[in-house]
Parts: sequence; structure tokens; C-alpha cells
Amino acid sequence: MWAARQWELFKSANNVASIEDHSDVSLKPVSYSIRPDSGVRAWSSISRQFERHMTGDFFAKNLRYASLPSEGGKGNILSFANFSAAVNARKEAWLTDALSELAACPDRAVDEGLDEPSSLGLTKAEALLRQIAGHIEDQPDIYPMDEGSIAIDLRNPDVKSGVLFLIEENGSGALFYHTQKSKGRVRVDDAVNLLGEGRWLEIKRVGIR
Amino acid sequence: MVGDQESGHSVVGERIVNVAPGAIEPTDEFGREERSESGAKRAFRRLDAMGGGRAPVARFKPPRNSNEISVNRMGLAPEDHLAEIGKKNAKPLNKSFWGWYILFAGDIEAVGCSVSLSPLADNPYHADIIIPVALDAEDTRDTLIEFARDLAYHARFRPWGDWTKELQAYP
Repeated sequence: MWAARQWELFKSANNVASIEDHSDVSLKPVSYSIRPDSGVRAWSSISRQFERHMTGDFFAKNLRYASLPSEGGKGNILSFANFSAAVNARKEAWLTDALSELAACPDRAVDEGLDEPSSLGLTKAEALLRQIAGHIEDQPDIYPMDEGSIAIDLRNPDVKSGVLFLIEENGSGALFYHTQKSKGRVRVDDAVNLLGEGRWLEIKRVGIR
Repeated sequence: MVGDQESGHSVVGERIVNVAPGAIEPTDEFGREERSESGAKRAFRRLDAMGGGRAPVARFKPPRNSNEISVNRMGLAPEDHLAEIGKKNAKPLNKSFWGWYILFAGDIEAVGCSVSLSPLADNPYHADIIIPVALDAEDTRDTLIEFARDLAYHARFRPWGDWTKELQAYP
């Protein structure tokens, strides 16, 4: 039970006080509470991080953060404030990668025989990526599409769902979402506004963290 | 390369490969050729790291004024033979052949598309994925992108060649 062992490590590393229904952490979501003296903040956002994919892979990915020493240097206990910082660090890391991919889009478009994206499109795409990075932990793919557009492709490969942002050459944008039960699209005049009007819900609905 | 449609045989180099079109089964594989080095390496890194190479949606977007995506029917010939066809297709474009994005016929059908076998003189395995969209509709491009996305979600990258060893050795 590798996952169970990791869970025990996680509990001790994070000062977890109580846990409900953790009989099979490799398959089920886990509800938990944290002792109030463990530096808890943004409990709801932290809990969202833990409500999905409680799998061995999840632990492997996140225990790297749990093994970080606390700021006070007291043993290996990691407060949730630190954990939150670690998650933010991860978002920033993918943003760096994603911006590199975005910068490579003009060359890649030429390589693939597509129209090059405009500087306006690249600027809008960068602004949108920075917005997404503030909310999403999963790294999107960035690549050129037809007619000088740029794709920001967020997927939940487990269920063949995802959200595709398209930033057009003229700076306008489109969002295509596909869940297991529904699909739809939205077009806006300014790609930077693609995430307005509660469209985060579309991303959450397809199971992207 | 010479194709002999009437006899049902294709001659590539020194080899003769049997071509038996027959009915398309849901488990039949169709491969979309990858000719972009950056695209292939990216897909392979995803394959290597996550066990599932992602296909970019762009790879399944038909050319302008078309609703057809060119693929090869896999399984009727050895892969090295199909790779030779891939290399020949890439050469006039001054490109290389890097592998295929593979789709099952059942998945193509599940997303609402169909497959039309369209053998060519120099490629008897050629087929087209047909996207059911009117090319003169107002939202044709968006509809094509939606179908391309759905196809891409089902596709898996199958690299071809020694280049993958180089990437594995120097990740």
C-alpha cells in the first residue's frame, strides 16, 4: 500500500488532526481538518487541491513540497501556509515554461507551415496565461493553430475533457470546453476577457486543477 | 514507389505488401503523420513523462476549405513500410517524418466523424477522416476546431525512429 504509506507521511508532515474516510486513499477523495495552530490559511483553496486525484501519483508530486523544511526550521513539519506557497511556486514554474512555449510559437508556426501569430495575439496570450496561472495548477500546452492563432490547451486526459483557449491574430479570443456531458464555446472581442463571467466554472467542471 | 491497385499489392522499394481493404473495424488504427520536429519532441516528452502522448488540436484541423484529414490505415502493413511512406510524404515539404498520432476507427466514429478509404497510386493505405460540417456555414471554423479537439483528445502519439533514444538519454 504505497499510497497509504505516503498518506501517513503526509499526515505527520502537515500536522493533520483528523481524517474521515481514508480507508482507501488511492481511490477516494479524503475529507480532513487541520489543527488551528498549523498556520492554516486559505483553507478552502487548499482543500480543493486535495479533493481530487488522491492517488499515488498525487502524493509523489506533492510530497516534494511536504518534505520542504518549515520556515522556522523546526524539523520537517510543513505548515499549510508553506504548502500554499509551494503550490504557488509550482504555478509560477509552469508559467515560465508556458511563456517559453509562447515565445517559440512564431518559429513553430513557420516549422509547421502555419501563419505566424501577430505580436498583438502574442501579447494577449501572455496576459491570458498570467491570469490562468493565478488559478490553475495543471500546465497547459501552448502551440500555434491555423490563421495565425495561438492555442492554450488545458486537458484532463483521464476523461478526455478539456478547455481550449484560442487567441486570434486580431486579439479576439474563443474558449471551447468539453466535459463528459456537455460541450460549448464562447467568443469575445478581447481575448483577455475570456475568463470573465464565471468561466472558471468551465475549467473546474472538466476537472482541471 | 509503384502502387498496383488492381492486384491489391503495393510495391515499396524491394518489398511487396499485401493490401486487403475490407471493412473497417472499430479497433482498426489510423495514423496521422507528424512532420514537425518540435511537435514530435513535445508529444514524446509527454508520452515519456505521463504515459500518454498528447496530440495538439492543430494536428487534426483540416486545411482551409476542407473537412478532410489525411491519415494512413495502420495494421495492413509493417510499420517500417508505413514509415517509408511517411518519409516520402515529408521529403517534398523539406521535412522529416517523426511518427504518427494514432486513432482507433471506433473513436473517430464516437466523436461523430467517419473514415473514407481513399488509396492513392503511391499509397494504398491512404484514408481520410471526414468531419461532418458544411464548409459554407457561418461557424465552420469553430465547428472544425471542436471536432479537431475531440479527435486530438483520443489520439496517442506513436514515435518512429531512433531520435527517441537520444531524448531518453538526454532528457
